[in-house]
Amino acid sequence: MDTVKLAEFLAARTGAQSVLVENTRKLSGGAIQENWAADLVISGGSHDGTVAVVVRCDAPSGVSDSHSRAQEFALLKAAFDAGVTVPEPLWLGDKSVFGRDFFVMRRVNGAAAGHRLVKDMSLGGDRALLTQRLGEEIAKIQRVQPSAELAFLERPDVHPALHFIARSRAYLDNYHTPYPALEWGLRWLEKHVPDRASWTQDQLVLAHRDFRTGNYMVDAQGLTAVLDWEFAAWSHPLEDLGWLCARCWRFGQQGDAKAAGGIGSREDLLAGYNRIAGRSVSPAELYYWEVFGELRWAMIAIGQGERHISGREPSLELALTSHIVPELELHILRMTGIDFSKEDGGHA
Amino acid sequence: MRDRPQGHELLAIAAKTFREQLLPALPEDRKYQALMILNAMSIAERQQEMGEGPLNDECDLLEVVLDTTPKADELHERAAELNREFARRVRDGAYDNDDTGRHVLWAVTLQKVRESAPRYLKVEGIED
Repeated sequence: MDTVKLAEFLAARTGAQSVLVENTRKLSGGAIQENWAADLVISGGSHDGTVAVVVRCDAPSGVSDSHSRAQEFALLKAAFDAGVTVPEPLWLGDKSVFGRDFFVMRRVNGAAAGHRLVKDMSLGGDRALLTQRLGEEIAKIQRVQPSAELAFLERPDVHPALHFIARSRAYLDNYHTPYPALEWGLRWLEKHVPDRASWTQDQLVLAHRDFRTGNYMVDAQGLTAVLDWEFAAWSHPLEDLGWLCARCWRFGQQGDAKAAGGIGSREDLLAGYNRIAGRSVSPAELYYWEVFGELRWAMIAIGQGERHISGREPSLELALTSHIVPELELHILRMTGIDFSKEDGGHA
Repeated sequence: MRDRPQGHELLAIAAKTFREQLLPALPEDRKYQALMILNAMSIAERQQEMGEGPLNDECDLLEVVLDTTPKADELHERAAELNREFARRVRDGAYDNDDTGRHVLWAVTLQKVRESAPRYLKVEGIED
């Protein structure tokens, strides 16, 4: 990252006499994007003073089928404007500045690691309030309206569950390994869509689609940012709620009191959601979308494992992700009426 | 005949040594990778130890429930062929109300979990 070029760009965008880019350091990042923390010392213009920021840019050799930086910026802006707790998006730049697409957002402090968050009670503040807050955030995301800037987001042309089922079956048809238990789960989803008859496409809302513990940051007081928006798309209002409550995202926490992301109860999550959304969703209504979440994670895990198996991206982490699938399959069977661990075998 | 210790026995003692002697000496930011290595070794160890027996049983079970004989001879190809047919029939609803098919679904999935993630079975009280 060329800090001189970046400073010139920022001075032009803010109307400042001068901008100094200080304390730059690379944060965690992947092969596709890099995140740099920096402190901007701005003299004059619209943002006079010191601004703590993160510069998010494409990695030098980043090839990606996920959202572009400009798309991410548009999404963050829409979420920010709707009142969602996200890092404030500040300025969008392109390759002409220092050779890579990038944007600048306000830096937010906090911790995100899921396994730490579920155990370390010094983080996140009051857990019941935090859980309600997560529900409120999901409801606020749903306030975002379609716009030209968000036209890149995927929009299913049928009920979102049926869309997922069709796509998953098409993928499995071309995959080298059959998954009878996932087929069972997909069949169950197909037969049990709760609102199949009443569904209309105008009920689609913006969904984060990876809203889980590990993808939001907290400090000692509470939530500081909702992160990782690359799966966002138009979907069903209950998808994010079910995903957060799926067993696979509880980080080992047991019991209904920790069903929502290993943090709190479904009741608290829905209290927050219903308050903002003006709805009256009950915990029982989430069940279908928790099963859906298990199935969706299983399909994603197969895809991640395949990146290793195919030889495209040799990685121990990806290889082990394949081996998460069997326990998801067994759990899906148990959630959908097949459980022979007990005498009676269960019923659909 | 292979001399002992065989593959799974070597993996077991290698993992024990790694866990007890190397893991504590590793810096915090390397422990996640080390635990992944141990997990991979344990899966391989369990698969080696169980051998082809469970896969043979699975094929026998599937041949009965599907009432079919696969074209393939080799065990893994047989298993793939039978599972693909089983998956197709599950999708078509053949076992929606069929207890035998559901038992087979449970049995073949349970065996995969025994190899890949036995901790789940313990945590959920399904097997020790």
